[in-house]
Amino acid sequence: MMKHLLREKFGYTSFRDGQEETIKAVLAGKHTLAMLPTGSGKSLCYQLPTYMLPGATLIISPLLSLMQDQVDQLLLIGEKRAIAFNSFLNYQKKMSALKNLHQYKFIFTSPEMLQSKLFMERLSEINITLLVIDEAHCISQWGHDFRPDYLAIGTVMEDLGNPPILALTATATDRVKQDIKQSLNMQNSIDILYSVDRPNISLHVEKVGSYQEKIDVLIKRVSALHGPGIIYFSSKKTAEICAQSLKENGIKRVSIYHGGLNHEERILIQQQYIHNQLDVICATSAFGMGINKENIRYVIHFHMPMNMESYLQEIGRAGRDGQTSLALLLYAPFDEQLPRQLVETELINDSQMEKLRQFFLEDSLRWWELEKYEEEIIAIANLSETSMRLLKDFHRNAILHHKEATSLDELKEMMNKQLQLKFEAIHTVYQYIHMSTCRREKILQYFGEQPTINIVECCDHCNGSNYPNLQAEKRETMPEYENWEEILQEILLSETSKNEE
Amino acid sequence: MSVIQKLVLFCLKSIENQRTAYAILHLLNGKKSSQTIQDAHLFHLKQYFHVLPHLTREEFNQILDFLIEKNYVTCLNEGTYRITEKGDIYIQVHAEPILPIYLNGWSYNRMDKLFWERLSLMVQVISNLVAYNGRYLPIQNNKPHLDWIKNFIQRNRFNRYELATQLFKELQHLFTNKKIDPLILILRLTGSKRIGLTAHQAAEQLQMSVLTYHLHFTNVIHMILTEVKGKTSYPLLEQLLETEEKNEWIHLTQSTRKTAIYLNQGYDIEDIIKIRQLKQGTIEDHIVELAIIDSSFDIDIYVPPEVQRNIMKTSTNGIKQLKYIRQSVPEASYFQIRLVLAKHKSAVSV
Repeated sequence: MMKHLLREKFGYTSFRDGQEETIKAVLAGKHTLAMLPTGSGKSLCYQLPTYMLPGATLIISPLLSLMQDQVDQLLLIGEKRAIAFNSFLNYQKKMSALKNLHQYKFIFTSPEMLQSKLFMERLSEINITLLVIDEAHCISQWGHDFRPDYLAIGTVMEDLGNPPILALTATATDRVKQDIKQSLNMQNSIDILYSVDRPNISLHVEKVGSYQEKIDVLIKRVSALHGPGIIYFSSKKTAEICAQSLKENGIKRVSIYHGGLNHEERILIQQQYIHNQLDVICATSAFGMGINKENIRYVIHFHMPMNMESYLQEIGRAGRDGQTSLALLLYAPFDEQLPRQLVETELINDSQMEKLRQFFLEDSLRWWELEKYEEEIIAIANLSETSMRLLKDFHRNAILHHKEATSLDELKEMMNKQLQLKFEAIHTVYQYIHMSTCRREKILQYFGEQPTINIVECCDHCNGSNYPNLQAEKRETMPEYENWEEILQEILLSETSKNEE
Repeated sequence: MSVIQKLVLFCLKSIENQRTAYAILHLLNGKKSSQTIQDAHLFHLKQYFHVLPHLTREEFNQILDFLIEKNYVTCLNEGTYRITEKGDIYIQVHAEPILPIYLNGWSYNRMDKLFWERLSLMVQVISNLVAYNGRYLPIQNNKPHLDWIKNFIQRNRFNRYELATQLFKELQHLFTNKKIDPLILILRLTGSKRIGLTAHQAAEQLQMSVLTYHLHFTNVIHMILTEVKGKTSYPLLEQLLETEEKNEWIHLTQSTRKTAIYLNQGYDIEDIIKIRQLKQGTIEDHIVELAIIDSSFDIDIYVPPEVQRNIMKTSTNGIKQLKYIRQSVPEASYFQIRLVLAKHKSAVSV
């Protein structure tokens, strides 16, 4: 039955590591914690069982764009009973979605929505037979991506009829795993833990003297490397500059990808890449989720990653076909300053905190009607978009528990702790860059694993700075059409003429 | 000179320093103010209304600086400009085709985006249909378009190969002997094996600035719209223009009817506010009017059924005063109350 569904619905002939075990645990009605590496097809672990369970599956996901991607992916296999119920929907669409909620088999939502009374009421009326927590590490303060909103999940389980939980994550340290189980009350859970290690990805770091030299090295490396690749940047601007430089240096099939693209552009660039019309994507972290491309040969980081967890997720997009692949991190002196700055702007610092306190203490009504003062708050405390979201998340939860403005002290404490943790995470990446022993060992150690197998193309310290031999892709060069009629023929008539023959 | 610089020069000549140069920016952006709309008519510049919605003030200033530097215009004062003899000669010498000739922004400014979205989707769907490929991501994710294309395919249920051949013929015919480069549009089309380019990529390939590309692209779309409208030789493409109307709607005011058409295509209030540049209150008035006239109009998505019941309970007590109902049913907005009363044909006293 499972194998049959796998083939018929999803078009795969066999399961990947961890999928079958996870699905069996879920179908046995057990709470399940599955830590499976990026690219191992985590979504299948709940998609397939959903077809075998009587009710609907509720999937809690941290990123709004990720949710829509998942719905799109399901659409692709012909599944229309999927909806992303989130704050993107306006009142009218929300109401019509609520009215028809029982017709959906896959309901994706954000933790924030679980605090909507109307939504919870409707959820409790329908039969939820599986609760999926995607990116479950977000629930832990020790995780690299803690989201206070996730803590609310623990409180709604009863209203949902205590369905079995499937907590999914790609990268979690031991401490985070314990936190997940405790917060979600997953006693006697079945744990399916796979190594974060991807043996076919060779780990390299290259240190250069300056920003300009980094661009030069990037061009040199990309010119020499074979096959499709991704270059990650922390800034959209630098991604644009480098894409332009690559083009000027003869690497034509390059495109940029970032969160600011519209739907049509996003789909087109993703599809061009999947159809091998593009070789290199210069991307921000917005690129990758939902991209199922097997033959990515290398992932280069132009900027320093914020933490080991996201670094592993991003390099994990290479080599899903199991072929030898390369992860290359470029480092110039003082590169660690950019991630530190990014962390500082996404959190709320002490002086901003003090301004917030004063603002709310001046008039206690302001605290209870925070929504009305949003613009004023952003201006007074000079909050970034992310830090305003943090405040709102905290506020929503505080109001729910009738806490006064003085509870901001809790937020302050939380922020300081987060700042410290995130700086530590950056420092771990810094150490990873500057170490002189095996890089793989360091990664495994960080995630509390033991090295088990001997890897041929391990890292630059084990094998020297020469890159592994990447299997050259047979490049399907697009014919350079000059003629519009030929293009039109290819799009509309190529299959037609085949049929007549 | 780039085509955009020429366009601005031409517009400056047309307004003959009777307006500030920014009147032209507003016109090209398609600003829906009565001043801009009057200007478009008065100076015979209707065809350029809304042809460059993304042109920024900064880019516009750069164009003005260029025209001054080249001595095509001189700055009078307070942002008004006079065209020089050199500029005048430039326009006269290059009399006819200095500007894209099919632009018709005034007539098509609401339709061109919709038309492209439907056309690109139609080509993608038919290309995948003949390839027997059911797994692909639609390049447009807007629900009304997806519903429309589904409906379109069902209506034209002849052989899928015939469908593809017919679409090919229509597009081929359309682009033959026209004063445009068909690649401007063709490069953007997506099929089952070939993924189209984004506007930026197409501009790059054709070696134009993004802005210039946009103007040419709009020109091509306007050409198609003019060509296809009311002709019998484009049975498939003509269907891209259709909007659905119901019989009862002839009783509606003109503006409400437009809103009704959008609603019927699946747009919601917020979309329509943006598209029509009207206030929320105005659109809400239209919906109330629609609820009175069209008895099949479903208001459940605007007012949850239990709120409807509460409103009706309060109003059956003989109370029709909005303010009072609002006090008794605090969860309902005035719009919702009016809508429920309209649906149930109750008279409202304010």
